[in-house]
Amino acid sequence: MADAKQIVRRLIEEPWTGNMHVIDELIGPGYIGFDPSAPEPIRGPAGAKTQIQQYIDGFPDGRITVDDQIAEGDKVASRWTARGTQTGEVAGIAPTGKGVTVSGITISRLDNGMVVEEWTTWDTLGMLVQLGAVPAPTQA
Amino acid sequence: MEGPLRRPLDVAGSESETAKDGFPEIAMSSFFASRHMPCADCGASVAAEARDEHTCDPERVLEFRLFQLRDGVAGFDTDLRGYLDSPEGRFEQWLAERDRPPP
Repeated sequence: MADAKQIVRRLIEEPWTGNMHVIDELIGPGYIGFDPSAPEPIRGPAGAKTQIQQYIDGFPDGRITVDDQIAEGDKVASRWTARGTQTGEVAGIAPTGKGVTVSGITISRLDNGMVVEEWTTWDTLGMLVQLGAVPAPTQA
Repeated sequence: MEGPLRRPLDVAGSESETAKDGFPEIAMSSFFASRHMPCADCGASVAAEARDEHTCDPERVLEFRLFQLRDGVAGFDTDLRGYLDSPEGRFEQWLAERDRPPP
């Protein structure tokens, strides 16, 4: 499964280094992705590009690093860390210039060397807190 | 700016609302605390375990402050042109021209 890990690693990391073509290369046409920050499932390579691009627009210097991966059967689980400076709008939040670090886990299912299904959970609340968009509750 | 700036960051999980070294602390429950928080002075993302040792890079502080002022900076030329077109601005230009020393 080393190849599968490498495929998923490229798909997670490379769009952030300017290689959006990797999405067409490694995401299957019937791809469906689930992300708690997306109101609807993400469909196909075009949907994946739109989903990623909105964060790249918000964090143009952003990078994602895959920290660990586990493969079993046709699935790869990847633990990753994203870092970037918010110089563009994200989720309606005006640019803050603040640095943000969040982590997440993506489980990817592959078929014929392409990712066809993904489940991602990441620290959305952490990003909002770091950007000051969510007021931190005061302890009683 | 004299030397590197060293500032404690807002401490997540603190119950205190008092300022520490001029920085207001964010009082939040540990449940909502993020392991990383941006430095209030330079905007750098700093992990909780590195907060006490964090030292701001003066260049980053400058970039961060300029970013906060970007609207004002972007509007400076327009504001200046508007001022120079105003009666007061025109008078200032006339006065400066009159007082210009001969070459």
